[in-house]
Amino acid sequence: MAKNDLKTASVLAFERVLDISDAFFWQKDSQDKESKTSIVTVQEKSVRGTISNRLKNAIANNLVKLDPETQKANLQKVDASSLDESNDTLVAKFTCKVLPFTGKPNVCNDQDYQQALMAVVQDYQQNQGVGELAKRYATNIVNARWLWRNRVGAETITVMVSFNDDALMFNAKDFALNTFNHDDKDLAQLAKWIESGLTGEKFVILSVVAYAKIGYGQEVYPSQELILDTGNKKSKVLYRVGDVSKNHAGMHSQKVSNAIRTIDDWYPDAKFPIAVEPYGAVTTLGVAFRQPKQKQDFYSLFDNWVLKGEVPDINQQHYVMGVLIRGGVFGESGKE
Amino acid sequence: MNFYQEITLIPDAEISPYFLWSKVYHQLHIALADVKNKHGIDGIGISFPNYRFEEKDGKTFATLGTKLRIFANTEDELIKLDVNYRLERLTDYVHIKPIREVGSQAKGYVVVKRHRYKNFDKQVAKFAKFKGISLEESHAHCREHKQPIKYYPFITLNSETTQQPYQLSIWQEAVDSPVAGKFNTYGLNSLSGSVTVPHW
Repeated sequence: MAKNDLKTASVLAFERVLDISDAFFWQKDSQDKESKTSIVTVQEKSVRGTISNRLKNAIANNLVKLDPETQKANLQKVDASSLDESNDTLVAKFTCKVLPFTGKPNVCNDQDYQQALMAVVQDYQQNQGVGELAKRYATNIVNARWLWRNRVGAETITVMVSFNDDALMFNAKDFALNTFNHDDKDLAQLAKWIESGLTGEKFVILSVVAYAKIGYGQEVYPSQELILDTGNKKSKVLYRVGDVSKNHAGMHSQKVSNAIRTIDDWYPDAKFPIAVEPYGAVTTLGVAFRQPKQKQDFYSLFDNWVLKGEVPDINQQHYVMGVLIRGGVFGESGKE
Repeated sequence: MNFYQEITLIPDAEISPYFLWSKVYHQLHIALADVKNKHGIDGIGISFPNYRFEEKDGKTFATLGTKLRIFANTEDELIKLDVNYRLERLTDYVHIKPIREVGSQAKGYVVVKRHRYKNFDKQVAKFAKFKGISLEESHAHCREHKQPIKYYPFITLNSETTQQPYQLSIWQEAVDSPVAGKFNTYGLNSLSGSVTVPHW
């Protein structure tokens, strides 16, 4: 079949290749060798806040009415989570399974297209290899980016990664967040493990533990649950991992994996790495860094590569493969 | 105000600048209190070069921006403050430039104050008592002349003593001529102060 008759399959989906678990929060005391790790809990508290939201115009311009409005107490129930007074170290754990990356879609209803696609991925594997991607994923594991706000202001963070009987120790603060060209023997070793998982050479499951020294009794930041029905319930609900009645604080697997795939600094005018996403969307900033009109979004690059054989430059190749590793539904039918 | 140091928050997709401001200012406040207690230094002032506060069509636009400058009269004062050491734990999130001379780059001056909202009703009552007039008359006067509530950009800080969060509202305005003086341990003026720092 000639290249120009190829069409994107209407049903096309990829499973994620890096399978990441929820992160569980534990705590211990770094000053006491005997200290046992115990769980970090989420507690509910009722607070008497102040009114601090912007007032509706009608109220804001009416001084007589404004004051009673701003004097009202703002009673809220919120979740909060912090270490006990006797502990100064947050211990966060998750596991990461690395599946083989062959480019084979999970679902695809067009055999010709699938063949073309597999050829593209194999070509990438042979010419570039997954080494660059593996190195970047490894960097994000060891720099503890996945601790998100818990990372800010921590005194020291030690990250321990173990695979089978081997374990590597890292000082997370040695690995800056904005670059991926750290030269470190252990990091290279971890990247090798991830690479051997991606190539299907070995079955790789990594367990990752971070020890972040943040101070006695300090607040920690688990994932926040999205509240879809705004009843008169709690205004802030934090994520409880596993058995809800245990109130065990933790982080959503999505949040952790978003940090691990924050490797895209190949987008136009990149200032900092963003998570690999088809349109480079960063919802917290309300921006998409890969606009379709610049032809640097995943679909433009991917379609040109698979359908027309236009090979993008090396960095964009990494990006496209990064999106396939992320997984998702990329068929043609929904995009019309 | 001859020497300064500039701090810039590094943009991060997931960590909001105001979360960082809170962490940064917490450390700065401790540092300023420290140099005041140890060395009696109280002439260190802070400004936000990209500060904006505008009220248009009943809407308020308020932002601190992502830069902060620390001014001192002598280089030694900034060396004693040692911002690099104070913000050491935030290395991946803030960019700190070395100590530099202000020189001729200053285009003007700003006054930076901590704005504390005074309850309007209390102001009315107080003024009525002071003047010996009725509440209605006082209310009319206060609506004319007193500050109604404004939503200046603020940084949320946690009190070390009570563990309660409180807001440090920042009010920054350009002025024509420099005024020398002291600052509080936030590096700001109180509401009635008018000590300036250079601005460009």
